[in-house]
Amino acid sequence: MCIVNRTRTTVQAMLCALLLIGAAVLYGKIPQRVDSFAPILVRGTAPQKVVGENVAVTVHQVISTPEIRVKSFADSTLSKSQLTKGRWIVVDASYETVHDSATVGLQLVADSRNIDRESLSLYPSGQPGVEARTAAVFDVPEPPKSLNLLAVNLPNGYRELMQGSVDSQLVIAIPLDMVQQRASVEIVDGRIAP
Amino acid sequence: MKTWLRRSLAGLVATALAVTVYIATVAYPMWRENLGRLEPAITVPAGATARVDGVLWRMYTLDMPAPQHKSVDPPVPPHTRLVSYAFDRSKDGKPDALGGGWTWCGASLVDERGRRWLPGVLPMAVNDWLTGRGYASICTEPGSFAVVATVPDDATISAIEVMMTNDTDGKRLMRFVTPG
Repeated sequence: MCIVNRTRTTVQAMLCALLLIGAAVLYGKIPQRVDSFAPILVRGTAPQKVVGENVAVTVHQVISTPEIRVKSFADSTLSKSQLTKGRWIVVDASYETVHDSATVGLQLVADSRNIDRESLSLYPSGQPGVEARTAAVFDVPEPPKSLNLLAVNLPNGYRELMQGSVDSQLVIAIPLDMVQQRASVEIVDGRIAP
Repeated sequence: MKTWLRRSLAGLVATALAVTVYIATVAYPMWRENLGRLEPAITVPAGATARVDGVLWRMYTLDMPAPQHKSVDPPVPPHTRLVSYAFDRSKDGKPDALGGGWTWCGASLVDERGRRWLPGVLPMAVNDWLTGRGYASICTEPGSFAVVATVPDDATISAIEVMMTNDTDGKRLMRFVTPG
C-alpha cells in the first residue's frame, strides 16, 4: 500500500513538473508585443497592382535621373532644380487604401539600402477606393542592381483610435528593365509632369 | 464526490479568487474602455436631433454645387465623387461645440460595406463655398461644421461617425445615420 502511494505521488510530481516545463516552454514561444504588431509581408512585382490588408499600390513607371525640377503647381513660374551625386529614382505610383483612411508611407530598398522618400510634397492620406497618383523620389548613391518598393500604412491618430495596428507591408519588386534613364524629370505638385 | 470537494476546496477557492481578481482588474476595465469606442455609444436616426452633454446636434445632407477645379487643386481621382454633410450644434440657442469635458472631435464617413473615409484635401472652390456660408471644417469650432470627402462612385454613405476624446484618454463614438 505504501509503495503504491509513493508511486502515485512520484507520478503526480512528475506530471506536475512536465506541466510546468511545458507551460514555461509555451510561454517563451509567445511572440513579443512588437512581433505581434509587425506587418505581414505581401509580395508582388511591378507593374501589377499589389493589395495588402489596408494598402494597395500600383507602380506605373520608374525613372532614374541625375536632376529633378520641382514646381508647386502647373502654372507656377518657380521651378527648383535639384541635382544629386548619385541618381534620383523617381517612382510613379498610385496608391489607395482598402477599408480605412491612412497615410501610405513609401520606402525604397536599393540593393541593401533602405532609402526614405524625399519630402517634396505633403504625404496625403490614402482613402478607400480612391486612387491617388504620386511621384515618390529617392536619392540613391549609385545605380542600383536591385529595387524593391515598400509600402505601409503610417501611424495615424484617428486610425489607431478606431482599431488596432494589425496590417500588411507591401514589398513590390521593380524589374531593372522597367527603369527608364532620363536627363531630367519635372515634378509638379508631387506628380510627374505629363 | 463530497470527499473530492472537501479535498479540493482550497484549490477551488483559489481558482475562483484568481478569476474574480482577473475580471475585476483586467477584463472589466478593458471592456469598459472599449465601450463606445469601437461601437457607437450613441446612434442618432436619420433626420433626428440629439442632445448630448447639453449640446443639440443635427446632421443633414449639404446641398453643395459642383466645384470648379482650379490649377492649384489636386486632380480629381478617377471614378470618384464628392459627398457633403453638415452638422448644426447649439446650446441655449447659441452656437456651441462640445460639452461634457470633451476637447477634440473628428468626423468620418462610413459606407454600407464598413469602409471609412476621412475628409481629405478639398478643392479651393469647396473651401471658399463652405467658409462663405459659415461652415467650419473642424468640429471643435462652435456652431456648424461640414464634412466633405471624395469617395468612390460605388460607395453608399450610410453614416457619419464623430469620435470625441478628452484629456484623460476618454473616447466616445457617436453615429449619425444619413438620410436615405
